[in-house]
Amino acid sequence: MADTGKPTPTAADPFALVPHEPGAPKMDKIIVADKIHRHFGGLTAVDVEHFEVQRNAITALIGPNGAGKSTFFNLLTGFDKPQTGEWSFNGFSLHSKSPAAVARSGMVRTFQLTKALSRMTVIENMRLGASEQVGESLSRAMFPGLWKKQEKEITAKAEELLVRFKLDKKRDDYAGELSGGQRKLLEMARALMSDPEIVMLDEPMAGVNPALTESLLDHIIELKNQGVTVLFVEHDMHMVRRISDWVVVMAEGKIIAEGPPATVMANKAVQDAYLGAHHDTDLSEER
Amino acid sequence: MDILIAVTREMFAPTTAAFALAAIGLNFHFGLTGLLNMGHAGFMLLGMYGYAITVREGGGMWLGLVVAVLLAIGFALLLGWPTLKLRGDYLAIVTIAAAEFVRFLGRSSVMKNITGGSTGIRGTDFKEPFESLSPFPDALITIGPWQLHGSASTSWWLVLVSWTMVAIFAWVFWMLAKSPWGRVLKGIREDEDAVRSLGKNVYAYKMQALVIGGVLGALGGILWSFGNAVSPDSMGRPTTFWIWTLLLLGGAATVFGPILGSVIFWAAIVLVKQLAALLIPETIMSTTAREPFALILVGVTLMLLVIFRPQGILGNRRELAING
Repeated sequence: MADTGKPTPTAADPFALVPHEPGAPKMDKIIVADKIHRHFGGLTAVDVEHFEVQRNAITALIGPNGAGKSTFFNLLTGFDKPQTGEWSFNGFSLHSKSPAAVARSGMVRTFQLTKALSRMTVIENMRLGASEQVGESLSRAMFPGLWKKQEKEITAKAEELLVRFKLDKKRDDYAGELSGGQRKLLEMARALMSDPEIVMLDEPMAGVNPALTESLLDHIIELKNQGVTVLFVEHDMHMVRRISDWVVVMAEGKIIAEGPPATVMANKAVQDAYLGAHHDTDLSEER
Repeated sequence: MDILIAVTREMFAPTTAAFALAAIGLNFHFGLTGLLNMGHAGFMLLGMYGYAITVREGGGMWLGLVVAVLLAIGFALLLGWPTLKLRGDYLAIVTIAAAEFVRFLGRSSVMKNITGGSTGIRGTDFKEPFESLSPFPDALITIGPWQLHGSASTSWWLVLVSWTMVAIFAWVFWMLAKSPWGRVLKGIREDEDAVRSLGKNVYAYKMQALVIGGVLGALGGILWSFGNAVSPDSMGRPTTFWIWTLLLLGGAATVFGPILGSVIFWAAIVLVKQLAALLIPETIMSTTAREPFALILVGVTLMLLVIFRPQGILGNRRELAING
């Protein structure tokens, strides 16, 4: 709203005309959520009036601890149900859809606590990520002739992704034998097996060795270059500044600010939410 | 020498095969999918009731099989419907209670006209159609050092049929476990939510596994009743725990684990009983005390095995070394 001197929107900057305010409308929206309300007993965890995500951009969802970011994530992906609210993905309502149905529609998530399937090999983890393997139905599983060819294609695709994520040497290791950062990579690679339109990353940097951070960031930027939309929850401000096109700030269950990373950090409401409204006032006068 | 014959005879006995088949069913539940079914004996008992009652009432062998399978499917759906959406522990609680419920219902005097109450159903009431199919003569036959009847009860015919069924279903397990379907089940065993996030209908897969394993339990129950009779009290909680024991002994999630486990478990019990009879005088241990003594000794051995080789005999140590 304050930015008047911006150029006309181009493909290079889809956010040029988007006002810097909570619930700002986007040019090409992939997710639209309205009046999402989730409370646990007397505690309101999420109370989002309006929320949109721009297609083919990297959007960060940040906020102090307990802001409701992860709950909001769970609600969007079907892992939790809100008391009220309506939300859609590509114009297709996700209200009361199961997590599996949400994933099949093209919205795949990862988890804050990495869910690598430990006692399965890396390649089996990857193959499981593929959608529409007909051999996954019980009636066809007994007849390898029906799914062997497809399995080969899936394996080829998995191997390609493993190379891209530098996990190809770990192909036949158990996922449980990987380091924390490698598991994050595996989870991300596995999510890509189904060619999702949007990947939702819940704290992709949590527990990752700093040496691996850079490559993880590059992978996320690469996702965008390949036409995938990314929405991620993160605490690491360095990462947010470095890769996100747009930042949405939550506090106490509400969206309190939106904007490009540089301006959103300077926002008064954001600083208050993170540091407390009175962080720079001298409390000594109350003596 | 007699001991050796008795022990080896137990190794290929139809009861051993019946337990191996039931354990393959439990392997679908626990080994592949991670479902804690603590009422497998209930499936076995339901299977033998379904078969024996149908045959006794003149329904014939094939109808009996169909009834037994349908009962097992119905039981699995009933148990899975409320519990498979919840955490794994709930299935364990519900199955252990439901299996006891089946047993108590079967042995209750109200049901005496149908299930025969606590005495169960005598073999002569339902074994005839199966035994009449036997190609073996109706007499004792000696093959090698072992002597069994040709067709009646624990017979060569039953040995042949029961081990053939074990072989068939071990093959089915192998085919399914290495298929993409089996891969989804293993994923569910590791982490349900991860599999959900990849777009698989976890509930449906768990239900399929529960039904398949339950049906194998029922078939195992029928085989067991062919060698014995239908008796509710031999299908109590201990039976379920034996199946668990021999599955873990052989190695869960392996193809031959349930079979090897069953062979070793039953052979070991016979071995201990026979050795006790030979070495311990009657004045110290009575004949009736030998059975519990054997179970205690086998139990202790199994505890040691689980402590020092938790993956079972055929399991993969590297796989089990991974935590979480």
